[in-house]
This record gives sequence, structure tokens and C-alpha cells, in this order.
Amino acid sequence: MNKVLVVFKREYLAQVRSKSFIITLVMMPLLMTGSIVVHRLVGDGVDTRDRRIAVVDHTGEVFSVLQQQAEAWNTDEANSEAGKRLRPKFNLSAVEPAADREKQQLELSNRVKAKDMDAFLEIGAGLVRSTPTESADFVRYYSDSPNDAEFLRWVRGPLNQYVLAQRFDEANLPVDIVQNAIRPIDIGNLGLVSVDAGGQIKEAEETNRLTTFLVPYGFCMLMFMAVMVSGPQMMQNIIEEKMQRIAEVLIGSIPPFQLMLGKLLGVMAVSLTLISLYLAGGFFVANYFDKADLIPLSQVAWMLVYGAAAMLMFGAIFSAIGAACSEIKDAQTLLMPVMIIVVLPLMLIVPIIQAPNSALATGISFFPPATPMMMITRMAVPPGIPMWQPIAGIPIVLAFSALCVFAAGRVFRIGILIQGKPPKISELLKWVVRG
Amino acid sequence: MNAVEMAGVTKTFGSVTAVDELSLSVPAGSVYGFIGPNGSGKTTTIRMIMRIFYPDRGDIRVFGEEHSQAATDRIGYLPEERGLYKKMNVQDVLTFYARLKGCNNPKPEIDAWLSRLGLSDWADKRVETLSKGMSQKVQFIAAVISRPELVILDEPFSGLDPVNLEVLRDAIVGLKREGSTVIFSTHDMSAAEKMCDQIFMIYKGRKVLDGTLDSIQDKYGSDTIRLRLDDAAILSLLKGIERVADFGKYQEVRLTNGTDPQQLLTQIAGRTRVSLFEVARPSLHDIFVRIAGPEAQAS
Repeated sequence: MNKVLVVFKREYLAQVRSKSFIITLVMMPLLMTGSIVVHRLVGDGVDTRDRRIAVVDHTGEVFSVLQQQAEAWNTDEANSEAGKRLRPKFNLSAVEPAADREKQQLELSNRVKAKDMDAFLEIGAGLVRSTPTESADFVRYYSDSPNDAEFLRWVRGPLNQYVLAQRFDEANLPVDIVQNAIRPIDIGNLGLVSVDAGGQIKEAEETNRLTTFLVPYGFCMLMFMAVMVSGPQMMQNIIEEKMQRIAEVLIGSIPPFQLMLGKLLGVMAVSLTLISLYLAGGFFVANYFDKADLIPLSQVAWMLVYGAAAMLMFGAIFSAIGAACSEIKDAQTLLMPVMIIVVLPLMLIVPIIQAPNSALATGISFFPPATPMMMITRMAVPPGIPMWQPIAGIPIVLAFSALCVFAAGRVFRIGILIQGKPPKISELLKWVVRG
Repeated sequence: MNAVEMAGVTKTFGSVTAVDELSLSVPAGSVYGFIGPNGSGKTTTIRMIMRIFYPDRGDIRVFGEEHSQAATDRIGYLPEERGLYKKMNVQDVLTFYARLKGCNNPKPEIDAWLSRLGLSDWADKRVETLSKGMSQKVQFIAAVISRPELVILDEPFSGLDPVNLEVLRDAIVGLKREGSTVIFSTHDMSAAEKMCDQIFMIYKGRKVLDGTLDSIQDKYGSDTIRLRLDDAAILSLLKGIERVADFGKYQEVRLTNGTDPQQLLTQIAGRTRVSLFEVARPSLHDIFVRIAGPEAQAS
């Protein structure tokens, strides 16, 4: 057992000093501040140069209103800060509608292309009428920068306000009353009401669709990362030991199964280290935004338990592949089927987060290779899943892990000393069955 | 008491028979040399003693036991090439190997060995920065750090300069003095001649020599003559000579069966000036070449 600890210690230290682990750690503060930084960058990144828009107004009345509103917008202090524009100015110019509409559109398009202006807006003659007329009831915005939505976002407001008022007026409806009557309906999306420790009824909290998606997704990715950072690294270490003939010396000192066990414990400790550091970082950020309750302590405990189980399961498979191969490129072929199984839960993540208690989600949670990731993901979606599920998942994962360790142990014992051509999958299975 | 005993051991890889019906015994406390051409089965035999490979047939006993798995703290092993973690420093890699062999506090022993082999300044350097000779010495320390009863060294002298070779040779002699049994394989015939209590030669998977240097040389008789002549070319004109090896400074002649050295001397003295004439037993090098050289292959 002492020797297992010696191997464990070396594997752990070799891994936490490896480049891939350090890079993963460096990524953490980047991710922590990333969202804020990105938001700031994008916020500052608004293109504030003036937009020159030509307006072909078939109604003859909308343009002047828009121009008035645009001037108000352009001089509005809320749109600039210390003399620097936060949002662009809009310079509107009227273009007389021509008899040949298509020809005019082409002409204006060419002017946009020539950078003579940024876009043009065409307003149909029937827009302000209260009864729709099919051919004249339109507003069209033509530009060659479809992702620049600054003007479109702005123009909607004044346009709707004016046009709706005209329509109500024409239909002899009192504008104030109608506008009150047709005010939009906002549906609040809340969690459930509960009782707090003092016996008081706690108000339901508003759920944020972004966080109810991002938090489970984050847990799933963290688990995936923990497995993928240390597992392949261990596999590479084993291949190096074979190539450098270190394996011969090791096997002369420690039985193969103990060697593998020491390595497995090493990578388990590595992935738990990684998970802990990331969770601590995540908690720090959540706490900063006053959202610490998004990462409950029970979830952290489950994450560590399932993280360890996942690493044991996949670690055993990675170690067997490493032992069976003499070169990294040979390992890649054998790795493919394993990777598909590891990645499978990630492909189903969206439907599973949307309906964590569906038959699909529950079913796939009891498919052992997917259990750790799926249970953790589903538990992180409020209000969680029935408690029996993660509890029942543990013996299932452990039983499957034991099977993996047993099979990998047999492959490891034979593979660690062979050199040259890697075995076929059928040969690997033979090793597992015959021992 | 024998440290290692092998009886009728055969090992095949696919259609190649690497070791064929091999039997040997290594007396405890001796230095036992394995010689033989490349690919003759030395390393395979060593790996079978280590239990890294299992024989197809035959019986291998180490310390009288048929141990079932490779791992044992009683044997130290230096593999043929490499065998060290490149990214670890020398001190750490030696500590790791020592701990794996069950030493709990290997530091004093490691320091002693490093200074003995002139590596003290390299203790905290990474293995990948060492020269071939230095990593060979580090690897040697790894094999002997736990003071094992049996030390198995696969080509310990390869890549060493004469100074380092001497250092390592002294270390091996020291191990013997402390009571360890040492098995090593080598291509350095003079090292084998000088160091080994017993020499074992394997050729094409079979045993061809086994015994003390004396007993081996006796078998080949005193049919070798070492000469220094002013004109070595005359040797090709003489009768009773089977083979001439001209080393430039001196010549080595092997006589055909029944040739009298005295007669040969008279013949030579009549033709050229003789400054050395020595009746000798064949060197191990010569015996090796007789068994595995091109002439032997042709016949």
C-alpha cells in the first residue's frame, strides 16, 4: 500500500506541474472576469459614428416626425458622456419618391455601396391608414451591413408611436384610452414560495433564464474539463513510461495493479483539486454578484463525489489505453470510442437542462458513463431532481467503475510491457476476458 | 546457494525463438557476466529473470523461489536504455525509485552515491539535461539505491568514457564486496575478463560458454601466439597458421592443431626480426569472435 502512495504522489505532482494543468488554472481567473470584461469591451465597442439614412417617405408625413425625433435623440445628453457619444447620431435626409420605385431603389443602393450614405428606409403610403392595404402597407430598411442594428433599434419607437396614433385617430378612437388598453402583458417567471428558517414565508424569487441555464451548464462543463485535463495527461505519462523503458523498472518494483491504482488515485486527486479551485472561484464571483445561493453547498458535495467517481471510471479506461499503446498516435485510434461516450452527454445538454425531469433526462442519468455529468447538471436546475436519483446513481457508477478498473487492470498488466504494434480492440477484449 | 537458477528455459516471440533450452546458475555473491552478439537473447534472458517476461517452457528460480510476479525489493534492475523520467530532477527521480523499493529515508544514501559517482552538482538538474554517460550513472544508482541482494545490469557500460567506466566498475566490485550478487551483460570483453567470476555466453538463443574465465580459456588451449615482427607480411607464407589478426603494433596468430610454437619461431626468425614472441591463451575477445565471427557463421 505504501508503494501505491509513492506512485500516487508522483503522478499527482507530475500532473499539477504539467502545462495543461497550469493552463487550465490560468483560464479560471480569465473565465471569472471574462464575462465582465467582454461586456465592457462590447459596451465600449458601439460604433458611434454618425449614420446617414435616406428616407423615401410615400406617406409624405412620417419623415418630418422622424427627423424631429432624430434631432431630439442627437442632442439628448443621455446619449453622450463627457462630450463622447455613447450612441450614434442619425442624420436623416428625405428623398422624393420617384415614379419608378425599382429604379429608385437601385439608385439608392448604389449610393450606399459608394459609401455616400449608410442605408435607406422606404415607408409605404398606406402605413398610417387604419385599414391595411396590401401593397402600400410596409416599412423597409435597406443596407449592406445587416448586423448594424443601431438605427433599426431606434427607429421602431418613434415610428410606432406616431403611426399607431394616426391610425387610432383615423378610426376615431381616443389614443390615450386605446394605448392603455393594449399595453403589453409581461409574465413574471418565478421560483416557488418557501418558508425560511424563522417560519416566515419567503417571497418567491424571480428566476433568471440565463442563470438557470448557465449554472447547470457550468457544472457539466466543469466535470467534463476535470476528466479531460487529467485523464489524457495520465495516458500520455503511461505511454512515456513505456517509451522510456521506465515501465520495466516500475514493474520490477511494484505489481502492475498497484501501479495503476496509484496512478488512478493521483488523477482523482488532480481532478478534485481542479474542481475545488474552480468551484471556489465560481463561488467568489457568485458572491460578488450577490448570487452565492446559485452554488449550494450540497451541490458542491455532490460535485466532488461524482467528480471522483467519473475520474475513477474514465481514468481506468485512459490508463488501459495508455498501457496498450506504444505511441501517442496509436492511442488516438483507441480513444475515439471513449471520447464519443464522454462527449455524448454534452450533446444532449440543452434539452436536458430545459426538461431535467423528462424521461430522456432521467434515463440517460442512469447510463453509467453519463451518470456523473447528467446528475450534476440536472441537480443544478432549480428546483432540482428527486433525491433518490443521485443517491441511486452512486452505487451504479461505483459498480461500473469497479468493472472498468478490473478490466483496465488486466489490460494494463499485459500492455505495460509490450512494445511495438498496438493491439486491436478484439485483442484487448481477449486480455480482459482471459486475464 | 544459487541466486538464480534457470533450467530448460525457452521463450519465443511469434516464429522467432529468442531463448532456446537455456540452463544456468548464478552463485550467490558472484559477479556473473552475460556476453553474446546483439540480438542473441541476452536482454530476453534478463527480462525473464526479472519476470517481466514469462518463459514459454522451463523453470526459473530466484533465491530458490519461483516468484510469481516481477515486483520484488530484493532485485535491483538497470534496463538496457533510458528508464528515467526526463522531466524530473535527479534527486527526485532517485527518491521515487528508492521509495518504490521500500526505502523510507533514502536521502543520505542518494547523496553518498551521487558524490561517489561525481554527480553531486547535478542533484537538482532535470534528467533531460544530463549527458548519456551521466544518465547512465543515475540509472545505475536507481538500480542499487535500495541495497538489493541481486543487481541485474543490462549493458551498464554502454556510452561511458574510460574514466566513468572505471568509476562504475569500482562501484560494481564494491557491491560484490558488500555481499550482493551482480549479473551484467556487456560487449566490453576486457571488462568481462577482469570483473567476472563466471562468464556466460549466449549465441542465437543457446548457451555456448559457461564457467570461469580460466575454465573457458583452458578449453581453447594455448594455441595463440602474440608477435611483434618487423615484417608481418611473411606470416602469410608460413605453414601451420590458421588465422592472423594484425593489430598494427602487434599480431595475433592462431595455430592449426598440432603446430609446435618452437618450430614456428625458428621459421620466423630466419625471415625477419622478432621483438616479441609470446605463447598465450586466447582472449575472451578472440573466443567471442571464434564463436560468433564471420568465419564461424560461414562454417
